[in-house]
Amino acid sequence: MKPKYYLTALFLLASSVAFTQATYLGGTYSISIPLGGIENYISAGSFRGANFEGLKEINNKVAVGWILGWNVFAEKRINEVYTNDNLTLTGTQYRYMNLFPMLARGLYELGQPEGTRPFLGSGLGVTADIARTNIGLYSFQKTAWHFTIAPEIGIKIPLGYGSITTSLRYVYGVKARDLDRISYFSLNLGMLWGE
Amino acid sequence: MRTERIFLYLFLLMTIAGLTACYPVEKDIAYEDLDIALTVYDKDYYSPEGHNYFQDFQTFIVPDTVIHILEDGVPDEISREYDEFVIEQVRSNLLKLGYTEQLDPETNPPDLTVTVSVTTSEHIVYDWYPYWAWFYVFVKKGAAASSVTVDNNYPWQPYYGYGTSYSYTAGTVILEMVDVAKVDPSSEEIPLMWAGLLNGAVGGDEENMTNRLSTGIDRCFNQSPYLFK
Repeated sequence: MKPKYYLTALFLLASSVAFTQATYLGGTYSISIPLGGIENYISAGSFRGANFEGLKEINNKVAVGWILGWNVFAEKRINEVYTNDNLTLTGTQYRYMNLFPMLARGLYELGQPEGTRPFLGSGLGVTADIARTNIGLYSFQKTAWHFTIAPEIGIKIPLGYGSITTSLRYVYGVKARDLDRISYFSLNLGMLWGE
Repeated sequence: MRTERIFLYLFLLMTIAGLTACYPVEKDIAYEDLDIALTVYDKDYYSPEGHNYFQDFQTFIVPDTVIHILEDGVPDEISREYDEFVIEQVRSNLLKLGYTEQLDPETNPPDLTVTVSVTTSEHIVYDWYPYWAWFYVFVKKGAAASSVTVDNNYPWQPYYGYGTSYSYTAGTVILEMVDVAKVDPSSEEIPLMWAGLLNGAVGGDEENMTNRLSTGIDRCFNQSPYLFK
C-alpha cells in the first residue's frame, strides 16, 4: 500500500476519534537532533520545528490523537568534494531536509486525571521528506514518504483550561525508494488547550 | 487566563520565529560560495584500480587564446580582461604537476594541449513572498491595541506580498586536455582525456575575480591527483 493511503487511513481513524470527541488541541515548539540516516547528510541539530496536535483521553489511562509536525534540518558544507565514478565536483553545499511527520498517536498516561500526568506512547504514520542540496548555481531535490514509528515519553502539567506539555520523541522512518531511512530525536515544548 | 495568554503568545512567537526563515544557512552568501569546480577524466587513460597513462605524457602547450563559446549570431560580449591571467594559471599548474612546456611546438609537437574556453549565460530569478493579514493584526493589536485601529474584517485573507527579481550572469571556464598524438585532422572529433570546469556567478571586484579564478583552476588540478607526475 502506498504511503498516501496509509496517511489517509490513519487520519480518518485518528480524526474520527480526536476530532469528534477532542478534548485537547495544541502545539509545541520542536528542536531536534539528527541520528542515523540523516546525520550523514546533515549533522547539525535543528532549532526549527513545530507540531500541531489533537488528543483525546478515552479513559483514565489511555489517550489517542494525531500530530502534524515540521522539522527543518539545514547545514552549510564548505568546499565539499563529491565523487562519482570518473567525475569529481567540489563546491560549497547548502543542504536542507524538511520533514513533515503525520502521525496517529496513542499514549499511556500515569498520575491522576486533573493532575500532572507523565506519559509514554507512540506515533504511527508517515513522514514527508524533502531533501534539497544547493551547490553552486544548481539545486537538486529528492522527495520521499517514509513509513514512520515514533515512540515518546513526556509530561502534561495542568494550567488553567489546558496544560503545558513537553515530550522527547524518537522518530524513525523506514528507507524509501529515493531516500535513505531517517531517524532523529525531537524535544517538544508547548501548550494543549481543552477540557 | 492571563498566564494562558502569555503562554499562547510565547508559543506563537516561538513558532513564527522558528519557521519563518526557510533558508537558515544561506545568509550572507558571497560570490565564491557559488563557485564549483568539476573535473572528469577518460577512463581509457586512468583507472583508480589499475592503469594511469597520464604518466606517459611529458610535454604540453597552452594556446595563447581563450576561446569564447557563443551561440550562432550572438555578438561576443565576453570580457577578455582575465584571459591572460587564466592562461597563466593553467600553465603554472601544469608546470607544478611536473610537465614540461614545449617552447617550440611547430618543430616538436607537444604530448598534450590544454585549451581554455569561456561561455556565459544570463539568468533571471523572480521570487514572491506572501505574508498574511492576521500576522499584521496580531502584531498591531498585541503591541499597541489602544492606539492603533486595524481593519480586522478578513483576518485570514492573504494580505500583500512582496516580490523581488534579480538577474545574474553565470560564467563557465572550460579546460580541455587533448591527446595530441591522437588528433586526426580528417576527423572532427577531439581526443579529450581530461576536462575541468569552473562555474559561478560573474561579479565582484577584480581582486575577487582573480582570486576565484585562481582558486578554481588550482582546485581542478588538485582534485585530479592522477595528473601528478
